[in-house]
Amino acid sequence: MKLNKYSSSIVLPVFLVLAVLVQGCSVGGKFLPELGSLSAVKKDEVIVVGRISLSPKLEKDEQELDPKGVWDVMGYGSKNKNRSMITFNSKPVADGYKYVINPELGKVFFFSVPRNLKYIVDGEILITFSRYSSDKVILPTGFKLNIKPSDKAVYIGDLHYKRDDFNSITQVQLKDNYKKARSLFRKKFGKKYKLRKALIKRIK
Amino acid sequence: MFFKTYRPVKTLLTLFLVSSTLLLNGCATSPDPIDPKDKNRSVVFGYFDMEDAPSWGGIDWVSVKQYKPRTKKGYYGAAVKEGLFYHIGLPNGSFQVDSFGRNTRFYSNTRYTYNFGGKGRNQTARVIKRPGVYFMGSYKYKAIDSGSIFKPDNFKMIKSKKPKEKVLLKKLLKIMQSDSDLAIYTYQIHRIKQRLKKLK
Repeated sequence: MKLNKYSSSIVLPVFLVLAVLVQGCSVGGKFLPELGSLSAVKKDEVIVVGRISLSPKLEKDEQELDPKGVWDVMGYGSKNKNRSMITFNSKPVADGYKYVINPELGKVFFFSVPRNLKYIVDGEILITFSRYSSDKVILPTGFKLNIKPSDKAVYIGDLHYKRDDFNSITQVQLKDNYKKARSLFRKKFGKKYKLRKALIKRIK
Repeated sequence: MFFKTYRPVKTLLTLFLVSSTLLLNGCATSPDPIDPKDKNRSVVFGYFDMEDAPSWGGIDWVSVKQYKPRTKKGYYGAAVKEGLFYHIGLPNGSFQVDSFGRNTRFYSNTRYTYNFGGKGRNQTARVIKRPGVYFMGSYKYKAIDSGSIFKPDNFKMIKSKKPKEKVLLKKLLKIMQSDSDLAIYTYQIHRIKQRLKKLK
């Protein structure tokens, strides 16, 4: 009886639409926020430190992340502004439930990531998006993290991507800027946790 | 009340006139004019064989995206004739086909859009450093079954050896020479002839 009452009103349709939208957003993975303080790190997590950079850098206004006719409820556009989307997974393939971080390009990042996520399986930089399509720089990935049970924080390296005129990646370089990362880590979080150098490796 | 004033013939006629006006308006929306005296423009062309595509009747439009230098315009609409697509006025820069498609037909009101770009370089990518004639290649549509009813099917444009550049260029030359609107582009026609000589 109650259901009939609600179903005749606008509440049920709105609820159903929202449920579908939320379902759509949650399928595929969870978005992990940047780490602000050590208190936010959960027991089963490890702080992952590194850097993603793109060369040539994104030009001013190269990204068009506020398309007409799109209601960007989840802030997809702002989450991609001068940022990359890097996907972690517990297995070396990009399927199932995944976790995503969005490090700012060219800056050392700090994210608290579940320690069972030992693989970087996907990466992209969103250039434009609309209701029908999107333009992306696809970042080649397929890396394995080296996380020990005793680790609280690991430096995975600086990933430097070179692109051509058509936004295809032509070169991937892994650079070791551990000292700079450690210095920034200590500045941000103090000396409570040790940042171990554990450069990522390509999955064979 | 409604039935008293409803005249089906008059309504149909009005609908026909309104839709015709809208259609004609669409046709009249012309792209940016190309100055026939401008020596710095290039001819770019290619071919899409869409025989196996779900959109019967070929394609009507091809959108070419300019990646470098970045401009506000960003996209150039290429003309299409029986699978041959061409643009006779591209400036220097980096270009590739972004999407192509078919408009509605009298037998189908479905619009088809095939996205070709969006994820980096595709096979049509060309960097124009100086004015000339640039072949983007011949391609054949190939459907890819997703294997699941929950995932949409995909497609691939397979590079094909036929029609050859020379055959297409001859066809383009014929189109340009026989169309009074295109015949004024003497620099482009001259360059096509020069390219044909090299292909012999």
